[in-house]
Amino acid sequence: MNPETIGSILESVIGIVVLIGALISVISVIGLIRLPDVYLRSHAATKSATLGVLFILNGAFLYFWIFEDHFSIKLLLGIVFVFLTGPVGGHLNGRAAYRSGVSLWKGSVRDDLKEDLKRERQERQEGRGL
Amino acid sequence: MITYIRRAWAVMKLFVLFNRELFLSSYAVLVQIIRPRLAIRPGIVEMKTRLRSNTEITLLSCLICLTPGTLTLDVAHDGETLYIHAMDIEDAEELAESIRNTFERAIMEVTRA
Repeated sequence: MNPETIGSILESVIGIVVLIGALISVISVIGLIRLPDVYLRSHAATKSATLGVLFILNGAFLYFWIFEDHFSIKLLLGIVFVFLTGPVGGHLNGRAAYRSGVSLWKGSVRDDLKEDLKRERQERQEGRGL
Repeated sequence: MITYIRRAWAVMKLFVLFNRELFLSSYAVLVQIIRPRLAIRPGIVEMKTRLRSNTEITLLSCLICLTPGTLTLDVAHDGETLYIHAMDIEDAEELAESIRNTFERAIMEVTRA
């Protein structure tokens, strides 16, 4: 195979990777609108978007590496920081929502946290009373 | 030296395992989203973990958060119970067991090699 064919194959592969990333982001936006409560929406917003952004950044990284001979540390750092910040943001959103009393969707099947949180709050109040 | 190599190998294994889980469960969540009728049974499941140190528990809850379909809502004060909001629960015990068998075991291999 001559270098030009390899180049065009690589180019289309990178194009497909970026396209998949964009599609995943679109689907997660649909999820953000469709899903019924804040916890489920945060599933769509934080997680699928993470994968979509990951695909797009990877595609851009490969493109610059192969075609421009530029090993982009910035893009790698972008991937690392998406991975670091995504779960923390998702966790804190969910925790804040639960502790400020946002109720679960009516189709939810179980809630193990409710009783434990009530007990914890009661214990704290009794501790303050003493 | 040997333990160092073993630990590096365990980190690699954790990374591969995490990537596999990320793709599998992303696919599951995306399919749930674009399905015409919502057929999900969300809920909060508690899970006892065998991990003890702060680093291990932080790592575990971050990995759970990163995997689509599961979200760590809270960590109890006893430091061994995680509350996980899951998007589709078929069997709560099974869910907790699968996390225990994948992430927890891989993390233990890394930190206790």
